[in-house]
Amino acid sequence: MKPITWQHALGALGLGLLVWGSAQALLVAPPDRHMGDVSRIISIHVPCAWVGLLVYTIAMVLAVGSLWSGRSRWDAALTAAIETGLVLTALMLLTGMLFARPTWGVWWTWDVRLTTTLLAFVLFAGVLTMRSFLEEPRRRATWTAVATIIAWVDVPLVYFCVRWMRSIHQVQSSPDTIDAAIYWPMRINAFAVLFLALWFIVLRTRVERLREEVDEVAPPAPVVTAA
Amino acid sequence: MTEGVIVGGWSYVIGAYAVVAIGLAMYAVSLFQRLRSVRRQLAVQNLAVQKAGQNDRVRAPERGRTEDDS
Repeated sequence: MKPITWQHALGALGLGLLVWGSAQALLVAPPDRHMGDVSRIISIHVPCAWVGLLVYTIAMVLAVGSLWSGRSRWDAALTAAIETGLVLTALMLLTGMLFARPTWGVWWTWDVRLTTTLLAFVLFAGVLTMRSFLEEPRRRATWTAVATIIAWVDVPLVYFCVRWMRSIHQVQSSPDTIDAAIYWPMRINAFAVLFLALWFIVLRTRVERLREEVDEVAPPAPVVTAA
Repeated sequence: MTEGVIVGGWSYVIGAYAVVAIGLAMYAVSLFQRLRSVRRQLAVQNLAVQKAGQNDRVRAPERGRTEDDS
């Protein structure tokens, strides 16, 4: 029997917390005074948003590290972080749409928060798409890092736009304004999604590193003997 | 007293949690599949390199003789 590595322990911890936090949100937390049971969506939507933006910020730090050091392991981790961020952004957008329909009456509106979030998704997806077209490893790493830093500029906009501009999306709440019974499931789910995201990044980085090895260990050309 | 309160909506709640569960599970499965695929690819390549190395060792004296003869 294989021993459970620390990476998989991270995933198991994330999964356990997600089950616990979701059970708290669905079964224990009281419905909101105005939004009713629909408010339970916030306990999973907000953690995806928080961790998604955090993972993009980790990607930006990795991009700087990749440019600074020129080492391929930074580039591999950067790719992993971008992909994980994209998954979380997609989940954030989908759960947001499921929250918007019963509360705002529409699935989607071109509100500043929604638009900047979609823009982040498109920009980071663009980084990975651009990356797939570049074959030379050093050039690919440089361009990925530069594009990531440019794309990251949208991340603070996503977070602060609701304070800077008029938006249908609510501004950030604080624990002082939310009942603990509603706040705690959200916090537990935030840690759950964070641990799962870190697990994904570690696994995806390993895939990328092994792919590099595959490229390096190319089989030798067959021996051609003169006739 | 339901004025100003959203009533129902459990289908949206279940939908949101299901989307997240399915999304995260599918991504985890895709990572394990990619990991297995790339490991297999690397093993096959390493085997090919090992075989090529053995063949080179066998051919080396032959090549040497040919060069001397020419």
